[in-house]
Amino acid sequence: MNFSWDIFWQYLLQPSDVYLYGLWLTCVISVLSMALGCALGLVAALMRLSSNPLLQYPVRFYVWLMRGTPLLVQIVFLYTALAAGGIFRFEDLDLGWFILPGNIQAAIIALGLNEGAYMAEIIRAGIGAVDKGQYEASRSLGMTFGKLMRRIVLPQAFRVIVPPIGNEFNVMLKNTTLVSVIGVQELLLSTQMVTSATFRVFELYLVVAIYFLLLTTLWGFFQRWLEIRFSQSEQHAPASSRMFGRQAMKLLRGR
Amino acid sequence: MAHLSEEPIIEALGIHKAFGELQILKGISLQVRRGEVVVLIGASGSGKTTFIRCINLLEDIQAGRIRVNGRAMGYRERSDGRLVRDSERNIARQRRDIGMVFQRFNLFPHMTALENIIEAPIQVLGLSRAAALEDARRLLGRVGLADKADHYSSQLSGGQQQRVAIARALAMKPQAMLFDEPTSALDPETVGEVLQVMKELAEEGMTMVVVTHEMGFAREVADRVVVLDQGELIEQGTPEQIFSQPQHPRTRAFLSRVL
Repeated sequence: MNFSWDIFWQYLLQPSDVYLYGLWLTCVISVLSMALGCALGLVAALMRLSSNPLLQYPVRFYVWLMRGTPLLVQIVFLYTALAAGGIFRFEDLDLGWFILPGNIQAAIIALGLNEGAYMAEIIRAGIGAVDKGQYEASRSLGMTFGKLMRRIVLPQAFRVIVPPIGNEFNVMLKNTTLVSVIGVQELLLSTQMVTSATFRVFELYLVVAIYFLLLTTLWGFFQRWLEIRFSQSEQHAPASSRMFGRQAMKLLRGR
Repeated sequence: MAHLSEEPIIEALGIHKAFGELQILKGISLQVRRGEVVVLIGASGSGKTTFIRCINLLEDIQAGRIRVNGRAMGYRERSDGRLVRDSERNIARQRRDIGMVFQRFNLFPHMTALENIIEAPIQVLGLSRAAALEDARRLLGRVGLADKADHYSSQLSGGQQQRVAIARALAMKPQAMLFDEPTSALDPETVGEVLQVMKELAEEGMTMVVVTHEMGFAREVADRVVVLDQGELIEQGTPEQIFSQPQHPRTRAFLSRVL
């Protein structure tokens, strides 16, 4: 077997700058795309819940389009096809202290637009899970739509949507590899660049896989913490202690 | 009744309401004077719950007019006398004057009892947090739940939840209170504590419109009992008149089933 432990350990434990830059870019693109997706999703969900067809139908179309086409196609379409058609070209953006390349802008927007469609459905389901009586109680207390959404409905919906949002971010971390096709030098493209110089394909792809596992695992811990935090005010015992009771849990923990 | 004034605080005139083809309310008119306790009774499906939900515009009406404190609810009268649907903001403002208590309590589950009560005074009336808290503690004491301030609704019994809901409505200092079957979702042993709070409220002179199946409460507390049947107001009078000498055959039929 053509496998060198030395090279494997070296790239895993002492990643080159190219690698670290790729890792950084993967994280930044994930976070920004997710933020964009959440914002779009919230607006789209509220529009979708409106009884006004002028607000509802554009969102239906958007969700249908984004969920019906491959993300990879959307990315290439936004960056390459629009430019080739002479419709829109992403230019590098000079923000004073650093330059934001056009393809990274396109990557964030494409991933965010796609995410927005999925988030819209998640948030819509979360809002739909809030009891109708909560609206009536808020209204009868003189709250306007904005207030009752912000203070009463969304905080309750949030508790329902935290777990699926966490899963979406996990998917987002991995989906960033797709933007390598428009030349964004995230983890996968960094790996490709290094392998083309070293030809250590097996070792390096193993390393990149472990990096992603590490990212998603870290995120998983954070997600669990978030879920516990947002279920606190409900004061419901966790499923395990409901099932076994406090005494049984103590025994299981060996104390 | 000494505390009654002649001034009507709630006036409903010819209220029509339909869900699709189904006529729920067929032109109901009711005037409630300041300080009066009106109890609506009637078989289920008679429209009594729908009617009080129309008073604070939780339901749209197809025809009729509602006035609270002499001001049209939900509609604005233009200078030429025509009615136009009022803005969301104005309707929200008008609802402040009328408190509502629901069959299923509808406490906010992500807030403690105290937070439930201070929410609207702070957010809607613009009260300072300190002032709202002071009011809320006083109201919790009044409904006998001073020790439950930091409990979430999932930690309270039905009767306790309903008493918090009453305190929450009172915190807005409403001119009148609507009660939509406030004891129907309660365990029998907690019905009494809620009725007691309502009775005290009535004795303090609160204007109340109550939909209930508790005939004992109606007999004891009501100034006026109103009987609805199939979307029509068929009879009204003092509790003695209604319970001892009902005039309408459908009132008699209804009372013979529930008493």
